[in-house]
Amino acid sequence: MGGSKELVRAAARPVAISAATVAWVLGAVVNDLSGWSFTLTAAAGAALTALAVGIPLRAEHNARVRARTAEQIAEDESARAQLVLNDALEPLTYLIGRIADRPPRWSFGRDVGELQGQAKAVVLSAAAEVLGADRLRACFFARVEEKPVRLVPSGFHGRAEEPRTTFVQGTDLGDFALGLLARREDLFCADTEAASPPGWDPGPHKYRTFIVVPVATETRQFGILTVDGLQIGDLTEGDVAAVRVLGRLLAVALGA
Amino acid sequence: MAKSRKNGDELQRARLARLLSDPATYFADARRQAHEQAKRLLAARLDEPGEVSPGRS
Repeated sequence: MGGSKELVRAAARPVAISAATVAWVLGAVVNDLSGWSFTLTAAAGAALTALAVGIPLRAEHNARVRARTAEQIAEDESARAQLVLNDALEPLTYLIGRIADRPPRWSFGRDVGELQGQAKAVVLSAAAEVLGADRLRACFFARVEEKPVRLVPSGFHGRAEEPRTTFVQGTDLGDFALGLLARREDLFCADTEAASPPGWDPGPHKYRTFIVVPVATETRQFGILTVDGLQIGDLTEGDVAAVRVLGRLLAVALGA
Repeated sequence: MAKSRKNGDELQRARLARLLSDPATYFADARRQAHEQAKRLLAARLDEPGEVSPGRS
C-alpha cells in the first residue's frame, strides 16, 4: 500500500513538470511566439516549473532526514532509559535490599563487606557502561580519615588505565574535591583543556571530559565517584543525573 | 488480562551473578536487547498513532 503511494508520488513529479512546461509552450504557440521569444518563454517556463516543484521536494527531503534523526534519537533515549533502569538500577537495588536484609549481628561480618564490594563493582560497571559512549572509565575514590584527609583510588571499571590520583587535603585539587564532597555538589567538565578544576595537572591523563559526584548520605561521606571519557562529547550534562543516582545508591549500600 | 512478568528474586540473583562475573558482556547484551526493544516499540507507536493517555501526552 505504502509502496504504491510512493510510486504514484514519484510519477506525479515528472508528470507535473512536463504538464506545466507543455502549458507554457502551448501558451507561446497560441500567442504566435517564435524565434527567441518562443525559446525564452519555454525555457523560463521549464525553469520556473522546476523551481516550483523542486523547492517543496527539497523541503520534503529535509523533513524526512529530520524525521529519521528524530527516530534515531527517540530509539537511543528509550534504549538508554531501559538500560539504566532495567539492567543497572534493578540489580543494584536488589543487592541493596539484600544488604538491608542482613540481621544487625551480621553488620560487621564478612558477608556485608562482600555485598558492599559487589555494590561498588555494580555501580562502577554501570557508570562506565550505560551512559552511551564507548571507552568510558568509572572510578571510586574512598575518603580516608587520616591527617591529612585524602580521597584514594578504590576501584575502577572501563578502560584499562588505573586511576593514580590521590586527592590530599591542603592541596588545591584535594581541597576542591573534598569541598565538592562536603557540599554534596557534583561537577561536569565538558573539556579539561577549556576549563579545569583548580590545581589540575593534565599530567598523563588522556581524558578530556569527566563527571564527579559525591558518594555520601546526609550525615556520612564515603568518597567520590568519577566517570571520564577520552573525547569531548563522550559525556554530557544529561549524564550527570544517572551518575548522581548511582553515587547515592552506592552511599546507601556502603552505609548499611 | 493484565500481563505479568517473571521477575522475581531468583531471576534478579541470576542477573546479578552474570553482571558481577562479566560486566562488559552483560552490558553489551543488555544494550543490544534494549535497542531491539526500543526499535520495536517505536515502530509500533509510529505505525499506530492512536490517542495517547492524557498523562503521557
